[in-house]
Amino acid sequence: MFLVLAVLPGKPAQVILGTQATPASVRALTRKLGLDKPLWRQYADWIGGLLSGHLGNSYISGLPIRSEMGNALEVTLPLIGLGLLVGIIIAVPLGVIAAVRDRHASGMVASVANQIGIAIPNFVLGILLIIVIGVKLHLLPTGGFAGWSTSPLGAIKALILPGISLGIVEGAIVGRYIRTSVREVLSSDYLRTARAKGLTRWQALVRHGFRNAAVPVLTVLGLELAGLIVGAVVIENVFTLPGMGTLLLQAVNNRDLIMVEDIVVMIAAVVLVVNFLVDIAYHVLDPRIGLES
Amino acid sequence: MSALPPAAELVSAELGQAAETAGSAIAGRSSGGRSWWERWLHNPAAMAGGIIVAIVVLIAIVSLVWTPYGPLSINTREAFAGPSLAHFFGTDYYGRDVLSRLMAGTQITLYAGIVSVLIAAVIGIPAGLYAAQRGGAPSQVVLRFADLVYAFPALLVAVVLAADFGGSTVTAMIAIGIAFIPVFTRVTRSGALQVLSADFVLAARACGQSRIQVLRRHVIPNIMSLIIVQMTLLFSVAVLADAALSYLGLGTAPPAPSWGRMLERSQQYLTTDPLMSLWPAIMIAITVLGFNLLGDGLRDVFDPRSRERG
Repeated sequence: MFLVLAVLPGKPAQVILGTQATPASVRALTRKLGLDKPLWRQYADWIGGLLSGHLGNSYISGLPIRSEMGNALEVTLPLIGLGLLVGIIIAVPLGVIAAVRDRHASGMVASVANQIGIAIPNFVLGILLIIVIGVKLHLLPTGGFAGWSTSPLGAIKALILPGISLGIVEGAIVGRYIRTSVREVLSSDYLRTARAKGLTRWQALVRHGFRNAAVPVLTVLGLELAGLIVGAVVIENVFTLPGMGTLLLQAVNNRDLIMVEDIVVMIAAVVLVVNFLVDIAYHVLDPRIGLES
Repeated sequence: MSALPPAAELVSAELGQAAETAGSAIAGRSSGGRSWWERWLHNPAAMAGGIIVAIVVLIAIVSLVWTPYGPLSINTREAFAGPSLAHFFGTDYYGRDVLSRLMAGTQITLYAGIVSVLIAAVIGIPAGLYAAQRGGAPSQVVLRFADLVYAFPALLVAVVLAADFGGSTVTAMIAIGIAFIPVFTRVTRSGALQVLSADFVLAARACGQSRIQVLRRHVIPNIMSLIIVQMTLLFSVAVLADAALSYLGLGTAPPAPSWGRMLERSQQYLTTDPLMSLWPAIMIAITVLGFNLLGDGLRDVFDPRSRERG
């Protein structure tokens, strides 16, 4: 990963100083950034830094990457949280109705809504929301972020539309899995037994069904959390929010390689940890599933 | 074969026939009494998806030889024109005809989708077959590797590639292709394991077919429907991912008319000309929907039992 970035063409010092720079100044900057050291040494320094929490300084701005990331997370974390919330609020009723009222009109409507939700990418939805709610109705801000300290209310308002765009699409995907899962539970023997004891369809489902249906859904939710993190990168660009995604793309455009490396590694690590936690939760919820399967 | 005594040859012929029947049952061809073609005609979702996909492909083919205007030809005097008879979908900020650009964009979308799915299939399917055939430690190595790739989102691969080479259609396709490899590996492996445990595979081995022959004659034909369904579904994801990457400036570079890029550029003019953003948005959504419906529909068509399973 690091190697891929470091070996390939495009010397950062040259890019930073522009095409007008003299060879001498490029050399000086290369030395200042530590890029004249052997590659293994650069790599070792970088890994050592990651492990001890020193992420290094941006090649471009010279600011410590850690504080830049910290500022960005103040935007990205609430955004992902909001997306998750919206996603769950949408996914659960949509999936359950599509499964339970399978052969009724309402179930069909839920299924169709689901398909459409999956087909619309989050950034497209974001732009549609900007057109309708921001430009036509003037209800909510359509971009920018003033920061939590200036106006907490303004900050929340700025995150509502991005959160909805992020959540609806993820919710539609999770809703589809919930539908499958609830359907499977509905055709199970223990649910028929519950019905035979005199419970209504809904009572049986609430008391016995949902807990069983939740197990596979949990796995998907873990995967979707990874999807939300990636989706946030895109959505931040739609709504020009100064979060991790914007930081990442800026770094790519400026060839601020150390910043790109740090952010990519951070995101990949978070995704891996989330998947790992989901695996553990899976076995806790349903001990029948062996670790070998 | 000639080394076998006559009686054994007779048995093996019978077993071979049994193998074929069992094989077509797994592929779902003979169950349900209808051919898969009839089931396709009776499945509204599959039909709708098929029609949408056919139209999109047709547009791409037509755009190869004809578009109303040149997709790149600039005419600043007609910039920001609304929909009219001369320009059905209006013109953009450079006065380029939006309809022509959308049509030409179909080519880019399909091209990116096809190549990224093929990259994934060419690496993922053999890996899955290998894991199923060998089992044990080699299979675990392949699967853990697939897990590792799976945890690494396509966007991050695209970011790294773009940081090195600058964003282009090729870097986007490679990034998406890599991200899809584990999906093919898993689907192929689980499908192949199912086929390999069937009696007709045992029969084929008893008849002296090598492992490779078994894979080629029995396993691959039987998991073909699974793979086609997966390819169709992944194609819709590829279209989506490609649009997102070019929207972010990590994919197809301007002036090529990719839908994602058109959306990104026209977003600046949202307040004055919202229609300009709407068209590429609709094209992306319809294309994704089409391939999604077709994939879901094909799954039901090839394997009617999957309907009950959801």
